[in-house]
Amino acid sequence: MNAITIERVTKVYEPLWPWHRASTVLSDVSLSVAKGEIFGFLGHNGAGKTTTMKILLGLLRPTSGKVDVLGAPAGDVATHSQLGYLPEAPYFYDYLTAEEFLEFYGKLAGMSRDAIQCRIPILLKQVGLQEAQDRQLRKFSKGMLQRIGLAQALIQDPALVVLDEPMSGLDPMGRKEVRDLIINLREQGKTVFFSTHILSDVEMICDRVGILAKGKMLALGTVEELVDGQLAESIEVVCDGVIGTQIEPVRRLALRTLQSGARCLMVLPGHECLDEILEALRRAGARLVSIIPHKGSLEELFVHKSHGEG
Amino acid sequence: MTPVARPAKQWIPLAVLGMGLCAGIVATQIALDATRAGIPKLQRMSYLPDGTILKVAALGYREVVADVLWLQVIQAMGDKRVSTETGQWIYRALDVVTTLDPKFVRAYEAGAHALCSIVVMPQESNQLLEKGIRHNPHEWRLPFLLGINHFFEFGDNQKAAEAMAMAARIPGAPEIIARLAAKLLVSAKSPQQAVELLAKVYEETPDDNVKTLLEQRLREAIVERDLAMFEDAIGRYQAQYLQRPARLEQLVQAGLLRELPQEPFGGQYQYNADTGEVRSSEIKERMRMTFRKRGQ
Amino acid sequence: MERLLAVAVNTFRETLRDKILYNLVLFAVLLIGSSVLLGTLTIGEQARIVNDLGLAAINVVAVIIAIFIGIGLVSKEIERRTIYTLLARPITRSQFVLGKYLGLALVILVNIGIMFAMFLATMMLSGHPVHASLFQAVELMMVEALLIMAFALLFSTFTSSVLSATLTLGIYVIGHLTSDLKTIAEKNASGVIKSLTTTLYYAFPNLETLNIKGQSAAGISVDLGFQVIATIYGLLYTGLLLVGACLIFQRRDF
Repeated sequence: MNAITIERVTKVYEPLWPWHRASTVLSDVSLSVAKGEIFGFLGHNGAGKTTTMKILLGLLRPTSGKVDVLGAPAGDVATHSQLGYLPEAPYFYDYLTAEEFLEFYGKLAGMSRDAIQCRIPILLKQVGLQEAQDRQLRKFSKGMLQRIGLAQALIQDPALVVLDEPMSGLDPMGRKEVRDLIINLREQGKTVFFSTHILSDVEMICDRVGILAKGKMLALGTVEELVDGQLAESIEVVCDGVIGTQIEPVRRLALRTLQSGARCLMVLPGHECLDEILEALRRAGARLVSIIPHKGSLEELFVHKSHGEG
Repeated sequence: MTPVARPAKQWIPLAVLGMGLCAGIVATQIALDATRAGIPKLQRMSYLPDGTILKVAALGYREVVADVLWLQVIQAMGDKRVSTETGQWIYRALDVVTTLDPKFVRAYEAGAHALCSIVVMPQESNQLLEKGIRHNPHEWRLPFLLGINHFFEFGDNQKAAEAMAMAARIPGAPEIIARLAAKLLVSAKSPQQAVELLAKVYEETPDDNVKTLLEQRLREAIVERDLAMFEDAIGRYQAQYLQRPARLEQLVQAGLLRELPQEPFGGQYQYNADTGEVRSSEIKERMRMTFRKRGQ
Repeated sequence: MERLLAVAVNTFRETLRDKILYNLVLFAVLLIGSSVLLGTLTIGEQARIVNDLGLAAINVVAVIIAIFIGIGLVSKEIERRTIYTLLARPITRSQFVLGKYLGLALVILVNIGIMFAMFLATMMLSGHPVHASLFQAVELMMVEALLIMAFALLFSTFTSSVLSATLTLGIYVIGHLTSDLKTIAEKNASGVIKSLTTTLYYAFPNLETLNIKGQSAAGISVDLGFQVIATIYGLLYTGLLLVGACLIFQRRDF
């Protein structure tokens, strides 16, 4: 059974005045997220990721299409007891302390006082904010707000967690911690639906990925499915003591060359031409520094796809 | 298009509740109206703070507060029966209104009218007008009304004449005021002032028709002045010689008049030695104000 | 209900931590200052003036809080996007709106209560008589503040803060004028204007009904029946506005 099913959803913002143009934010978007899955939602800023998430939560109504969340239509507040949400660039009640803040959200989630009191220290430890328990949120840094936001989303130990750009505003350490947290959630059998524009995060932890650009789904599947067959491999060769563009095979075969003094970097389309290039380099008296094979990355796919679209 | 995924019927109970509330509101409003009708309006605002205090409290909105209070006054005036108590309140409210906005000419004017018509409080009416004149020296209506009050309510020709003369001298006052003032001055035995006033207004009027009218009245005033002079001189002659003069020239000979004045219409002053009466050959009726005092 | 209360408590806490109660200090200074100052200036009418000033100040402060915090209740949550996380919780939009309202209502009632207590203390300390009518006036002021706040909340569910404030202020002014307009029109107006003012009279809240400051400052009590009906009237109207706010809020996109 799916945790999230989105079928042919379109969202059009009707213009306020007849002489304005209606803007279509989502057109014919379909996707589904199975229970226990980590789903990465990729796209540039303004692609419609946040809109999709708001529709999931019932904050926005789609113009057409069908959205089911946890077996009920989106916006059915009964299912919200099993749902946690972290909005993008969260801003919270800054007059509350971290503890009061979590207490409030616990109460909203319908938890008992005792359950909340048990849960708060665990969550604060999980997001690394133990010391900030009694501090008002107005004194929190951006990264700390992101962490307390995460804690808030997890307060009642929900089955489905929707995270909008959870890694933004965090330093590399923080990003790793959030990644670990998400993986940890999967181990507990939770479903995680998160959006990001940082691809390395997605590549490492997602079971499945959807790429959204300008309101349309461009690709949907596992990382391997998406990368395989979509992009050829490439090889990066670095050597010293030659000018790359003066060597004939390099000029003919390399996808790109980059010259920096006597050092030259060249990107080759595949294994087939590697021998010919190396032979030519040796003859020209070059000293080899490195040969790195590149698998097709999601990043390249992303760039490729969104360029194709644009 | 697939139906939108949202519990769609949520609004129905709310709408029903809303309609129930509407009915309740109208019902209570009607009940309130019934209760409220029993409470006289003035009891509801019996205490009116002093104007000077209210002026501070109204901050920058003195005129607005004055307007709102003015509306209340109008309503009080419009009641079918206005008691003396209400009259007192109206005066007090008008005083507050004009303290808040001393330039509220309409309030002085209408208030002065009301205090002499729907209730009988001429003293208060005059106080209001005097306050108005102090603050609005360029409004001829206020001294005009004051003159009317003095004349009709108090029968005080002298004060009425002074007020009317004041009104007549204010630029913009219609010339009829000057003529009225002159009449009053004559009645108040000050024909010389009447002449001076009319002469001044005559000078200042650009309109030829008005000038003609004023000229007429000016001549009449001169006649009145001369007649008054004759009367005075005859009186003194009589006191001196214990008999009336036989001819007017005797007054000059006795040194009581410097010379015999010219009749301004080109006629003559005729003297009836039997009655001691002097009259102009050109004027049938003398300038006088006649009136009936209230209650007479 | 529990969740509604959680929102209410949070709103109450928010408003208090915004240092809203500082207005009480200002109020105290005004009250004590005026009673001391006027004691030396006026003869005889001092009690009346302190009564008057006190009641007016309570009323003004309550209305200002009702309008200017009332308009921010919902719109601030939307602007700061805190509403996203709230509505992602198992709470209906109506519960949210009513919770916000309840929280601020509590603030205003407590605020009026404290101001009134300070006022009574001043009166007693300076030896002025305390009339029962003062309690009546303050009770109706509370109802008025609740009503005004409901307007502010209703407007803020569909327009900007500035516009909501303007509209609410407009309603406040009109609400105090409708009964007079109706009386004026009844005396001397054409049929069209008469029916227009009558419509206005029933459509807009009749705030003048809830205003008995003048007579209560003079120590005249109102009929208890009137007091009860007026209170019910105000609360029913408030209820209607809240229903409207919920209806609009349910259909909103964020």
